[in-house]
Amino acid sequence: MATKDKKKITITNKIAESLKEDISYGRIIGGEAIIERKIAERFQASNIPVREALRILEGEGFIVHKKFSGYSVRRINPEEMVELYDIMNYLSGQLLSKGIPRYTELTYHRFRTLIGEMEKSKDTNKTVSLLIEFTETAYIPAGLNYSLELAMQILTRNIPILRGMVEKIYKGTSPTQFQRHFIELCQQKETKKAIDVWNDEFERMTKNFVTIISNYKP
Amino acid sequence: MVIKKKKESTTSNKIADSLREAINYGTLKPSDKIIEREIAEKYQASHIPVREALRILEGEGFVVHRKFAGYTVREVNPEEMIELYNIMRFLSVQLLNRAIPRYTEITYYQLKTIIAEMEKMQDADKNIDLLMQFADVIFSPAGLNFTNNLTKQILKRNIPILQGVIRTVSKGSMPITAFNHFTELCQKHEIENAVKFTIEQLDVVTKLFVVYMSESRKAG
Repeated sequence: MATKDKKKITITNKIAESLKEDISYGRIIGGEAIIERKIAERFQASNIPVREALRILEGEGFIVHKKFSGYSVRRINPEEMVELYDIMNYLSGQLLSKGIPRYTELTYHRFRTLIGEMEKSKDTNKTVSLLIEFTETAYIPAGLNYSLELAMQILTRNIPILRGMVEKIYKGTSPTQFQRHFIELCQQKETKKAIDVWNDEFERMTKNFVTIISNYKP
Repeated sequence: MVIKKKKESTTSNKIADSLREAINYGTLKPSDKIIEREIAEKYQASHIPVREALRILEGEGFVVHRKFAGYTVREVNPEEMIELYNIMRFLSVQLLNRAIPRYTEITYYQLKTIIAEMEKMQDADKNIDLLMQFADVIFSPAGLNFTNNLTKQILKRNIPILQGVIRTVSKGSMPITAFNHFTELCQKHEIENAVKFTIEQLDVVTKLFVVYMSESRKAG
């Protein structure tokens, strides 16, 4: 039973990962319908792992589900990016201005470990999850649980955007100058400057990505 | 199969309703533990509808689930209330500034219908539904789907707070005058004033509720 469970999880993950790749590399385009039966045939799997895989993709924002029409690939439009940017910018400001003065040696240690891993990572997935972890580490000390939950939820539900940014702007590996500069400013108790650096980088990434998706023609 | 599923969801809804009531009337107090087995016994139900009921309540913000500790009644503290206020203020400003100029005759018709229903409604819980409908009508013309959905989600997940606010601040009924005033300002195209008025109302209500929470906390 346990073995069977494990196997099922692996098939689900395999399907999910492979669909994510297809979406990220444009093999399945925004708006395109996802047909469960076809996926089941392609992976020679039953509908149970297929549905589970689709639910994972929905949770991470790769696909959307609509009544009657089923699953389709989420279309990321520039307007939505601007909305996301506004909300994240606000939440970051709240979380960092309360958080930075509370950073301890432990926080900085965690930052340095993550930067080390980022420099080694050649894999987009890994880089994205490290960037999310770095962000979470920066946000937690504020003690604003509700804002933290909201910010993390927004990040984890927009993985395709983060992936797109890492791939197209960072070319897979995150340059860590920004993170190093941010930490330095925090250690010098330059909270305001640190927040500016954080938000500037975020703005730069968003603007570049908006340009990329605006010019993208499938 | 279909019939079975329907019956099951009714049992879980019944359990959810009764637990919600127990929390609202203080039979279950903040941070009280909820023991699944006891509920199952009380309602002579299996653990499946009990869990479903708890999941519904978690989604509405009545209970929280923690690894190892299980479900407990959610404790809302004043700090969290201020955080929520800050987020809601930010989102409301984003949405209203864009939405109000786009209101049409249909929007005003919908607002007036909801306000008329609020006036008739004595039930605080039903008023929450109307309040959410009102929020949807005033926010969605902005066309900011992501922001609007986030706002809806925040409201939906904080039903106990909304209920508490209505019960303590406006004694169960809705502040009809405030809703009417907002609608009038929008109709006169006084966008800035309408946004300012909304924030002031949000501010007053939050402050009153925070005071209430701190006092009831002291009283234990």
